[in-house]
Amino acid sequence: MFGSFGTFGITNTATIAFALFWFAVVLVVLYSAIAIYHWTRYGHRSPVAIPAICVHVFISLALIGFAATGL
Amino acid sequence: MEEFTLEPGETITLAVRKHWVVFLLELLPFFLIALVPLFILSFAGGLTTVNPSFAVQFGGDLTLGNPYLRLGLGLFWLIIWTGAFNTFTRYYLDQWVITTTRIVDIHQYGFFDRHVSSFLLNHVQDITTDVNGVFPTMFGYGTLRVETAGDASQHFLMTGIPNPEQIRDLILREIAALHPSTNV
Repeated sequence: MFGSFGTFGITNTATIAFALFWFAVVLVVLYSAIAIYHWTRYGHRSPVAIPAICVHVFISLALIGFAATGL
Repeated sequence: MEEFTLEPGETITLAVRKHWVVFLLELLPFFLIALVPLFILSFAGGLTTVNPSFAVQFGGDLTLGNPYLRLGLGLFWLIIWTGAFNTFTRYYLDQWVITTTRIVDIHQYGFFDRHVSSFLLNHVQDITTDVNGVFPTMFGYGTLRVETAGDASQHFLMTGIPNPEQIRDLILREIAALHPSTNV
């Protein structure tokens, strides 16, 4: 199942995995941009804003990096 | 405050968010869902140890050595993390601000959907607090309901706020300060 995704060949599986990965990355980048906009617009005076953005970006990049090891 | 401008002589008495326990309870489902794949992998690993043919039946390696499994797990956790951060963003950007003349209810329903309502203290007719349940009683949070008088009677809720009784007393003190000659 995880090795070949059933009837798909390994090339198809790799292509789908690649597309899925980049689709998710684009979504997360868009989400992060919108979230950062809201934090900077409505919470920029708070001492929590910058650490929150940094933690979000760091964890997102770490998870993207982890997922990328499967490509 | 970008959402509203203070009137001359108006000062902010208190800004309050939901209690941190409410936030943790909202975060708990994300944490539990994030653990599910680890339990499944652990269970599958146990089955593979008992019966080596199990892994073959399901297409091969059911450990983190399988790249597709790592990819799936990474993307799954990425979605969970995004949801959890979204919960934190909404928790943090939701706020109630009590000033010397009004209560401002700032609510972030979602991205690009932010509501800011003001309720004048001299229109407040009734304030009710409700601390109901084990966690609210243990940690001291609850709901405060404020009824306002006017052409159309309105009310608004401050849910999950810490120490609702103290906030009620604060609002009543501010109302009394607005009407020094009458007992409120």
